[in-house]
Amino acid sequence: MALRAASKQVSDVVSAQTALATGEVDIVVGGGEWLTAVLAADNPNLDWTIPKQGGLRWAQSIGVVAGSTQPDLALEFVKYIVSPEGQAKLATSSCYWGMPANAKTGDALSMEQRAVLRWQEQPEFLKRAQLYPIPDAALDTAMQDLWTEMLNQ
Amino acid sequence: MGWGLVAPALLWTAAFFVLPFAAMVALSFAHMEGREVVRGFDPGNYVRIFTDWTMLKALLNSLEITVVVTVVSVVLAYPLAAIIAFRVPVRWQRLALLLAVLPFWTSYVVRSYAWLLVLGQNGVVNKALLGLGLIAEPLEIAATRTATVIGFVHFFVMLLTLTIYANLIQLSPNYARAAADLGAGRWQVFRHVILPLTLPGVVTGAFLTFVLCIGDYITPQILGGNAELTLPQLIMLQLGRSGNFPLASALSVVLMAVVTLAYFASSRWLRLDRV
Repeated sequence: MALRAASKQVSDVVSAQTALATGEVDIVVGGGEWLTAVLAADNPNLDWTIPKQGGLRWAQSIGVVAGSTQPDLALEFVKYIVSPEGQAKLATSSCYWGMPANAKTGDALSMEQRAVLRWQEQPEFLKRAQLYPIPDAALDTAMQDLWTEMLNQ
Repeated sequence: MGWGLVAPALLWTAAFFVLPFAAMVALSFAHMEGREVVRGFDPGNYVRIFTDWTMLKALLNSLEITVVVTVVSVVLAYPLAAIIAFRVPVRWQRLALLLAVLPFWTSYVVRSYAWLLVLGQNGVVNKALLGLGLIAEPLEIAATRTATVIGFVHFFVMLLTLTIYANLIQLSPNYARAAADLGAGRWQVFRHVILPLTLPGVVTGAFLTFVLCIGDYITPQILGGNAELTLPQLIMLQLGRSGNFPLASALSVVLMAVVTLAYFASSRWLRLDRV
């Protein structure tokens, strides 16, 4: 609540990036490479980190659904996406950067891209970050209510 | 024959308004147990809305913003409509109206993000004011309630200009001439003749502004910076984040009730046939 009171705004991805790009805000708490890396070319001073106190790690999954009409093609696509080349493409797309999950992706990234993603620090970051927790219904409701109260304080 | 012609509209209204609305009201009396919706007749959601300050404040925020937007839009739109109706030559009036509603042609979302840039620390508004030496520090307008109000007013001035203009050009110039002939000054003509006769157009536009503004989610979400919540934002939080459909339904019913009250308050002057 104190952090909220000291903040200029609470934003979704687009609004947070707009605020960073226009100089409206200088620091985003709860951001990450997925927020700042795509802006690095325009604003080289923009950087990100996971503090010593730790942070949350978002994870995405990919799979082939049962009953797929093109299971072989789908499997090939999954293989490509999780490959170092696919991960590098995904990690540095023009609209959205995100940390590659494949540890071998480094070889498929340029030095500049590795620097922007802080690729060398990944082992340290991984140690400090924890996966997104899955709360039970009661904790979920309590957290949502707290979030709503925080926004409308 | 008559019923046959009305039937499609009746069926449409029944299928897409009456039935969903009844379902929403029924759902508003359900409650959540864990992640499950439990049907029943539980007024708990309504009790919470009117006792939980977070909920009540969202309703008050929405009302405050909507009233300010409606009043400011009317005050800005009336002179604009009057200038187009009385000062612009008839053959240019179409073009003038077209220019007045031109911003309608862009996407609502794009327009809102554009305002965010215009009003930002380094946006044209602050750059211009700083350049003119009118302010020493950039104004913090983006991501505030002021930005939300500006975004809304921009949109609704267009709407109100149309409804008020439609009303103004229907007035015979003889009313003003007769009043002037009887010794009324320009202000008296406006105050006692023009304004009362155009009130239906003003109230119709103001009512539409009220309804569209209080139910809008996009503008406060993009421009308001989450500095506070409006009722539609609160409803979206309940739907999108909490999955609490009963509470979202109850909040929507409250929103409907507010709009209904606004309708009754303005129904005396409301001329929806003139829109």
